[in-house]
Order: sequence, then structure tokens, then C-alpha cells
Amino acid sequence: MPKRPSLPKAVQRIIPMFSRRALRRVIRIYFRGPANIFAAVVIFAALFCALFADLIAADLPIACRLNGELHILPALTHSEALAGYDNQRIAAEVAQNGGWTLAPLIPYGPEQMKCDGDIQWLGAPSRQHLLGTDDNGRDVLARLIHGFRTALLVGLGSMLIGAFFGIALGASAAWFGGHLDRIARHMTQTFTIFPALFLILAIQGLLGKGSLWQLVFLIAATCWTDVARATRAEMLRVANEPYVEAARALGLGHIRILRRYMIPVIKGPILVSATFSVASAMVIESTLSFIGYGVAAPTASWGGLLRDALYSEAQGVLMFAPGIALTCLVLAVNLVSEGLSEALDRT
Amino acid sequence: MLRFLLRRIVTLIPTVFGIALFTFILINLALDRSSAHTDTHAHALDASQAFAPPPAFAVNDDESPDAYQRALALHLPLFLNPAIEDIQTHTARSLIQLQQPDTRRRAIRDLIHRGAAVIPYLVPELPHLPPDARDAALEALEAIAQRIGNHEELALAEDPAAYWARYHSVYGSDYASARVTRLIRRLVRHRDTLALHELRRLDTFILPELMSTLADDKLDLDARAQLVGLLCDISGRNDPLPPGATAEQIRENQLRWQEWWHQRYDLYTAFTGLRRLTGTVTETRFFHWMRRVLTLDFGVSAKDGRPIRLILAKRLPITLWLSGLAMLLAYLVAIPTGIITAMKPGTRLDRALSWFFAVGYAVPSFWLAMLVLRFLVHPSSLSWLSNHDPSYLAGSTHYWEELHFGAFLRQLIVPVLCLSSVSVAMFSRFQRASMLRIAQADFVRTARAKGLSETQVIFRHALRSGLVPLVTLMAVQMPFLISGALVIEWMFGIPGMGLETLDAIRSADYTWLIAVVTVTAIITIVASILADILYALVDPRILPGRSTARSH
Repeated sequence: MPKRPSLPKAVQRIIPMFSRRALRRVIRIYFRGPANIFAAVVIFAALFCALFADLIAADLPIACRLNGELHILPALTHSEALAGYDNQRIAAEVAQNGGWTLAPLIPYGPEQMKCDGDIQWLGAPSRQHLLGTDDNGRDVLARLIHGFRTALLVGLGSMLIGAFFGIALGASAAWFGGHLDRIARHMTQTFTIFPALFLILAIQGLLGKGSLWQLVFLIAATCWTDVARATRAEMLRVANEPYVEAARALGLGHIRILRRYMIPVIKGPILVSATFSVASAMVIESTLSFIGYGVAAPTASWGGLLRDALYSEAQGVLMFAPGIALTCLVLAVNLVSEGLSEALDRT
Repeated sequence: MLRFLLRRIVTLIPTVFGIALFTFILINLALDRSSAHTDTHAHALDASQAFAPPPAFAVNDDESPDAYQRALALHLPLFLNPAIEDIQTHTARSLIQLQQPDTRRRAIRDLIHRGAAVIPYLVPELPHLPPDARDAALEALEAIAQRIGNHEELALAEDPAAYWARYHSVYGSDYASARVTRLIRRLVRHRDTLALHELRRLDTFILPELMSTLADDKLDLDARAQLVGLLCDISGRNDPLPPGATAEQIRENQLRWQEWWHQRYDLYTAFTGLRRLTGTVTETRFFHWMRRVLTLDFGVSAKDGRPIRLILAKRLPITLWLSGLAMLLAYLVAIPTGIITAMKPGTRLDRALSWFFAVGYAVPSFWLAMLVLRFLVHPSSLSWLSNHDPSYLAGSTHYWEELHFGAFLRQLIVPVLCLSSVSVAMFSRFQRASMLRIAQADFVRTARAKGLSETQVIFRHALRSGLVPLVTLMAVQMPFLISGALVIEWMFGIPGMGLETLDAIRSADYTWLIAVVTVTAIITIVASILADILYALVDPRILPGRSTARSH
């Protein structure tokens, strides 16, 4: 079998590959800035809250033994035996009949209206409800925690879909050029030009308010342009580098050149622009929920929480907490994006 | 410069086309879905609109559920129309339907709705029809006779079929568009009552010529009022021109009638010759849609029948002022702060401002507006807000339209501040970054080495290049600001395009939604052309013949 042609070792070494070493360098440079550390902490906290929202704030315990029966994670398994129960009732029965219960940190679900048997509307922060209750008597902190999930789901989900499409379009435009490039450029320009909110609202109006996924797709449809543009520009820049030309001269296939010599170099800037679009997707989602055309009502979303605050004349916590959470998360995502681009520049 | 501009505009044509195509696909996806279950045959008129004797008789079918479908030409094929439908084919179909007992009633109703325009196509066919179909056709003709005023004569005649044959042989030559044009001209110029009488007799047949006469702006008010009155009589749609109407009223009336005609001209017009040939392309959904986009004529609102163009004329300027002022503010703040922070990077001021703008960039404008409304600005100082709740158009519209310009601008101060917060932060950061980059450029170092003062270095040399990235931001920022204006309008109850859009969603006003998407896209296109002009002013290197063209 003939040996496949490859570039000399010396050339291979100067290509800034995303090796484990390079990655370690990027991370080291990234964590030099205090702002970057703050951003990373916020992001990890948000991811933690989003992933384990059901363990942090739920109306059913994490695990309990009730009437001789063991229930583990009943909130996730939708156990029939515990239908109609909540943390408070289980605690009362456990105290009466024996057994044990492991309540979550915040023993209220995000959509649970009845707390402690008596409903508190717009309750002030207290020991039971650390951030008070909203106009429907729901625990604000629980809704805030579950809001992380909505925000990140929309942000990351639409970023992934948008980035997939953007990268595919940008890369093929740069690689094949010609008519495809022209069409792709006009497409990108067209979608950049549409005011995102008007477009999404009009489609929501025409199609009717749909599921969360419809929203994710709509936001993705408006925020893929930056990624596409970044991909195309980076590809064109790298395609003229001498080592890519050398690889082409050696007769390597398209896929091989892309995988070994181009993707490692260009994935940094693309990652940066994709990170930016996470932030804008989150802002768009909360804005839509705020004006009442975003995530459907009972699902907790920060924009929806602020809308509740607006309509219920609430003072204080209800109108601050979701806004602060949103601002922090957006700030963190932006900082991460900037920190990454700086760290990548220096490596 | 001009050549550069022209080239930019030409390259934008595919974008405009793309936008039209995109919104077109959107409409068809959305509306096909919503109309699939209503099951209305596009050509059939609403069954509830049974024939009523004159004068309440109406050809008008504004209320029918497929009115908005006709407005968007959903009854036509998408891109190519091999079988164009006009009055001739409609009548021929009705004639076939007359021969089937189960479709007979509908055929009679359709024929009556077409009015006298069917006479040239129906009467010559009468002898060839089977007896029961002929009776049905005569029934339809009797109703038409009541409209055109020869029903008494008809009642006296012993054989109606023979009467109609005679009628056609006597008056058949009147059914010609040249004759109609002449009659209308006589009516307009000489107020000829005989001409009016004859036009009444020709009934719906005169509609194509009548509408093209009305489209003429130079028509004087009396003649126009008379023609519109005639149109009301014929169509049964009660929308006359009041005596002493203002120019605006005339325009609104004209736009409404134009839209009415646009939706049903194929029911009364015979496509002949060239019109028939080009109809393959023009009588399609896509062509109708392109025509609407290019003429910016989006018909009438499905909500209350006002012409969209007039609503836009009221709402658009408010939104443009709001977002334009926000943009201006962003530039006014960003350029100085960007320079100041870039002059002394790393100082306490620079770091403080950097953090301030980083946070400002992350604070969503709707939350800021909410906080401002709750804590900083007492709602009573914004007198159009009757209470604290954001009110949809209710009440505020009138208040805003009454404002004189100075008061209007004063009321915009707080909303503009809220709207521009994100842009101010973004622009400042951009300006700082670009100034820092320029400060290390060779030509700046040269200027410094020549012994120029720091002020001269910055304002003479660095600033001009430092402005370039900021100028290009304008094109990107305009769609963002227009989107942001939607929420700000909602929060402050400003009756701009955004508030109207939210109102339209609640009342399922598709025509407005479609119009607003197209119009906002066009505004941002204009903004991007503007950005290009500014770009060329700041950085003449991009002009053709100066250097290589800028890469995209």
C-alpha cells in the first residue's frame, strides 16, 4: 500500500493545532483575568442550576420513604403513588406515620401555587420563601432557578442549531466559491437585515404561539448569520496560508485538508462568535416572554417573571431578581466570549 | 462616489428580492396551513351572502371569510398560471354548472354576483343550453335586469329568451371597452346624465375602465364623487366620497376602492391579447406579491379596513424618530468616551468605564425601561400613560398625534435613553478597541515621531481611521434598534410600528404583519446604504479606482 502523502514534520509543528497542550495554554491564559474567572464561575453555576433544577427546587422530595414505600426522585418519574402530594404534605405525614424524607434545598416547585396550605400572594421575602412569592403564590426563587433552564435551553439550543447551519453555509461558500458563495452572501445579508424581533413576532403571529422548540428554531433562524460570516472569513483567510497550499499541492483530499489543517485553526473565532449568539438568543427569548409572545405561561422564564412583576405592581424582589440573573448571565457569556478570543489570539 | 453608490444599490437588489421571496414563502407556509381547514373554494362566494333584491343587492363580498385570501392572491397558483381565469372562463364554468342540478344554485348566484358583465358571454349561449339550464340562466338574467333597470320591459315580454336575444342585438355593441371609456369621459367632462344612465345600464361591465379612471389623481372632486357614487351603486359596497372631502380622505377612499378592485378584478375583466399572454406570469401569487412589495401597497388592514399604507405613514415616523435618535445618542456618547478611555488605557477611569459599559451592554433594555418607569420617572409626568399598565394603543394614539413637534421630542427623551443604553455601551467599547488598535499603527507612530501634539495626533490622524469600524456598525445596529423600539414602545405606550404590530398579532391582522416585516427590512436596507455612504466619506479607499475593493 503506498504511503499517503503528508507534510513534513516541521511544517506540521507550526500549525496551531488544538492539541491538549494548546488547549491547556488557552485555559491558562484565559484564567489570568479576574473578569474571566467571574464569568466562568457564573456560567458553571448557571449550568449547574439548569441541569439540577429539579433537585434544587421541586414540589416533591429527592427521596422519601412514605407508608413503607421508597420513592426516589418522584418529581422525575412522575410517580402515581405521590400524585397530589407535595413536600409540605409529605413532611406532615412522615411526622405522623414515620418514615423519612429528603426535601430539596428549596422545597417548592416552580409551578406550585399552594404553599404551606395557605396561599401567599406577592409575599415579601421570608424564611420560607427566600425571595418571596409572586402574584400567583408561587415561590420566586424556585421559578428563578428553573428560569436558568429555559434561558440556557433557548440560548444553547438556538446557538447549536444556528451554528450548525451557519458553519455549513459559511464553510461551503468559502470552499466552493463562485455562485454558491454569492448566494450565501446574499442570504446572510438578507437575514442580517431583518429586525429579529419583528420577524419572530410576525411568524409567531402567523403560525400561532407554539412550543418552546418553535421558539428555539425561530431564534436560531435569526442568529446564524454572525457564525456564517465568521466561518466564511476565517476559511478564506486560512485557505491562502502557505501550509494549506502545500497540503493541496501534495494532493490531499478536501476532507483531509479541512480536518487536519483548517478546522483546528478556524474553530477558535467561530467558537467566539457562536458564544456571542448565545447571549443575544437569551436576550431575545426574555424579551419575547416579557411582551407575552415567548415561552408559554406556566413555564418559568425570566422574561415571564418580569412580566408578572410588571402586571402585579410588585415592588422589590420580583422585579429585580430575574433582571439581575439575566444581566449576570448575559454579561458572563459576553465576558467568556471576549476572554476566549483574547486567549486564542495570544496562543 | 456616485458609481460606488450605484454599485452598492445594485448589489442590494438580490437582497430585496430575497426578502420578498422569503416573506412570500412565509406567508404561503403560514396561510396555507390556516386556510386548509376552513375549506373555502377560492372562486366560490360566501354561501351566507344569498341574493337579496335591490337596492340592498351587493356584488360586494368584503365580509366573506376568504377576503384576506384574495387579498394575498391565495386563489392563484404560485409561480405560473397556465389557465388564467377571467370573466369569460368564469362564465363558461357557470354555464357548465348550470347544466348540473346540484351546482345550479351556486352557478345562478355566481352569475348574479358578476352582474351585467356576463351578458356578452351569457346571452349568445342561451339558445345552445338545454331547457332546464336555460331557465336557470334566465332566472339569473332576471335578477341582473333588476340591477340594470330593464326588468319592467322584461316582464312585458312574452318570451324572455327572445327578449334577451333582441336586447343583445340592439345593445351588444355597447359592451366594448372603447365605448365605456367614451361614456366615462363624457360623464367626467360634461356631467352628461345620459352617459350616467347608460353607464348604470352597463353595470359591472364598466368596472375596469371606471377603476382606471379613478386611479387618475388629477380628477376633480365633483367628478370623482360622482364616479365613486356610481361605483357604490354598482358594487353595493357603501363607501362614498363625502362632499367637501379633504385630500387625505380622498386618498384613503381611493386606496380602499383600489384594494377592493385589486382583490376581484379578475371576476369582471376579460383578459385579451397581450394581457392574456402575460397573464401566465402576472396572474400568480408571486407576481402579485412582488407588485405589493415594489409599490409598497399592502392593501387594507384585516382588522378595520384602513389602508395599510396610511397606517404606516402615521406609525413609521414615530418608530424612526425613536430608533434614529437612539442611534444618534449612541454615536454622540460613544465617540468621546471611546477616545478618552483609549487615550489613557489602564487608568482607573478607563477600567471603571469599561466595566460600566460591559454591564450596560448586558442589561436588557426592557428591564431598564421597567425600572426607570417604576423608580425614576413618575408615571404622572408621562401624561399619556393613563395608568401604570402598558396600554395597547388605547388612548395613547390620540394623545401622540395631537402633540406638536417640540413636545413630541420631549416625550421621547426617556424612551430614547432606555432604548439606546445597549447601543451606547456597544459603540463605546468598539470605539475604544478601534482607537487602541489605531494607536499602534505605523502612521500614528510616525505622526508622533514628527513631534505633533497628542491632540493633533488623535484628531488629525487617528480618529478618522478609528471611526471606520463604528460607521460600519450602523448597518448592523439599525435592525437591532428597530427591534428594541418594539419593546420600548410597548412599555411607554408610544403608538409606533411596534405597538401596532403587537395589536395586529392579537387581532390576527396578517396583512399588517406581512407589511411590517417587509417595511422594516427595507428600512434597514436604507440604513445599510447610508452606512456605506458614511463609510466612503470616512475611508475613501473603498471607492472604485482608489484601491482594491473592500472584502466582504
